[in-house]
Amino acid sequence: MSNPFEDETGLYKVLVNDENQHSLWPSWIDVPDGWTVVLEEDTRKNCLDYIEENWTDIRPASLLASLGGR
Amino acid sequence: MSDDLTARFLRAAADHPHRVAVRAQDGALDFAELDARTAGLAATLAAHGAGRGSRVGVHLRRTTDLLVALLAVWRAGAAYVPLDPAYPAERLAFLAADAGVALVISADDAPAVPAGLVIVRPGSRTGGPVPQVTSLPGDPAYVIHTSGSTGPAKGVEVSRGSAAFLVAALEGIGAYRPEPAVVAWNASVSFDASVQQWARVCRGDTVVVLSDDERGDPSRLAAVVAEFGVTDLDLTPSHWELLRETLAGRSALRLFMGGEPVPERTWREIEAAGITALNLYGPTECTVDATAAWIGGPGPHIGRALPGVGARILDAGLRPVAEGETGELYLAGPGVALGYTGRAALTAQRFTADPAGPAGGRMYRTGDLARQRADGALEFVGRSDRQVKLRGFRIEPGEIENALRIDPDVRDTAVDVKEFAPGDRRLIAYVTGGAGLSPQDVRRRLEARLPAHMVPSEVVALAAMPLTPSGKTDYRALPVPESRPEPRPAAAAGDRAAAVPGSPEPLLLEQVAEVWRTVLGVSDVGPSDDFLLLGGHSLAALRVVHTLRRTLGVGLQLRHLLDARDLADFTESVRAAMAAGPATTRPSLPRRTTQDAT
Repeated sequence: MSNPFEDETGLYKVLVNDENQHSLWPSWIDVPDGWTVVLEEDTRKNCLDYIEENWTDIRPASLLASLGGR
Repeated sequence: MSDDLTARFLRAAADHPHRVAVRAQDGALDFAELDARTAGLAATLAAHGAGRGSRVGVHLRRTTDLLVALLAVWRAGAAYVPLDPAYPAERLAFLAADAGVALVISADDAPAVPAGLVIVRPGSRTGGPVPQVTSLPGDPAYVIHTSGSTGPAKGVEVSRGSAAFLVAALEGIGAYRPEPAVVAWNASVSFDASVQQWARVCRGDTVVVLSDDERGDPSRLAAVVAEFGVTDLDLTPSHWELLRETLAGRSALRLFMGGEPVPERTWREIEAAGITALNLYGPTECTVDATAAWIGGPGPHIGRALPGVGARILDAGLRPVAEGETGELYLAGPGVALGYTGRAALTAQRFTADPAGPAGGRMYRTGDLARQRADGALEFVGRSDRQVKLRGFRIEPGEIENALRIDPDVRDTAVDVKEFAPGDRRLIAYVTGGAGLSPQDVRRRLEARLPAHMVPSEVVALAAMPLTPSGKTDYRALPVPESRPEPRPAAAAGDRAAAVPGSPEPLLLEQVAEVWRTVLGVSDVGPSDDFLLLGGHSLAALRVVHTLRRTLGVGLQLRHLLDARDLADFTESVRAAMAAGPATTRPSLPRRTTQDAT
């Protein structure tokens, strides 16, 4: 069974929520509520590269703020 | 919002100061003592800079200190990272670096952890102020590594809120009896099943830390259960296979099964024995458990989502499948982990936006295939990828392949699970390389890199990898290795035994050899064969010892087999045990033939 997140030749977007959590997202599926597109349709590899570069700490933004940069 | 576990512990300690909190082979602590010990160690950790947002390595064996350390890390506001002293140094270095550990709690004089880390003793109390940390539910509670499918292990970072939710959700379904429990801590701290065992202390339950010997030896485990009045035991279905005779008569014991699918036979056995047991399903990424089922009735199945957990079976377009149809299982809710620490791209592929949850919510893509029955219960169908469960361990063959590719002699590799005999599944590595390729050396080097449960039973050298028409490794075409080079009639083994000077009496040797052959699924065993080199692992060793105990009625110990050089040496131990008289435990057990035993 094929998984929509595992299609090496498919096109994807990168989504972000209020906690700056990033999600790879199949470009042909509607974007869920509460998520913003930060990288429009692109190859899977480019999307993952974008995420590695721009999401430097996977912890939620509210937690990082409360830690004050620890 | 679930009540923080550290806060619950402090309340339990105030309410029941003299109840036993933790017991292990090194002694016992009541709640007042555990409160004092964890306060002292938390103060030391804080003095070394541990606090909210930091991670502390825990490098301890299975003693009361281990529980003290885990709880003290939480009291200091930090997250713990298990660093199992049994792991190879290279693995520990990777885990510590990957999780960003700067501080390690260890009792060893010279712990095999990377240089530069600050070592704190579990009994230390510097006398500084006990940290009064106000933790938030989003604060990390632990980082536990799981096998990586395409690369090294990844650290799953779980919040305190998720850990608190787990305990509250299990309470919500009536998993725990109202009276204080005595909980056996069975799982390794390196695996998240341990969380729901040791953290029971935060509810005011007593935790009995099982030693490695007690975990592996049914008669010793039964003795611990009886001596300390253990009421709750977590175990994998593989472990049940070893313990079932010991546990079958103990209907007062409540079992929590997880780690791998419960076979139908086991489901029936537990029901027939009148034992109350929960089948718990969940990946580490969703904080131990996501669904639960009381074992009994038509099954096996994994039950229903815990209250608050969203369990969705979706198709390739992320649409819910119809009842009875197979899809991939996605999980949402307060148990969903923060992600894989330091692995943003991997996190974003597995922890994704959730089309059916609250705005901005996430779900975890399990990779498990499932379907929903007409009565609402979920059934586990299989995996959508190559991940395997072996004796309860979650293993990605890809991680082992990755570790093998580092080996200078290995050109190409494939790792797969092969079934040698019904129920006897083993991890096998296939390698190709130059003329100097030595499978034994490759395996030895792998032992220095990976934990024991990930080291294949056998490394097989192939001239070339079998390929599918599309040019990918053809895993199904990988040969099941013969454990012995050439099969030999059983009688010949007896002849060989007689020919060895000073060898034990041939009839007994043949009887023991037959048990080895049955358990190991090999066709030939000789007096000079080494059990471990034949592919024997610790569970297989237990089956051998257990079978001989029953068939011969002798007080044989596991160490007799593990310490033996070879079959002849082990048979000597069996003969000595027989001379020492019948076993003292459970003499009423009927004797059975070897054939019945497996």
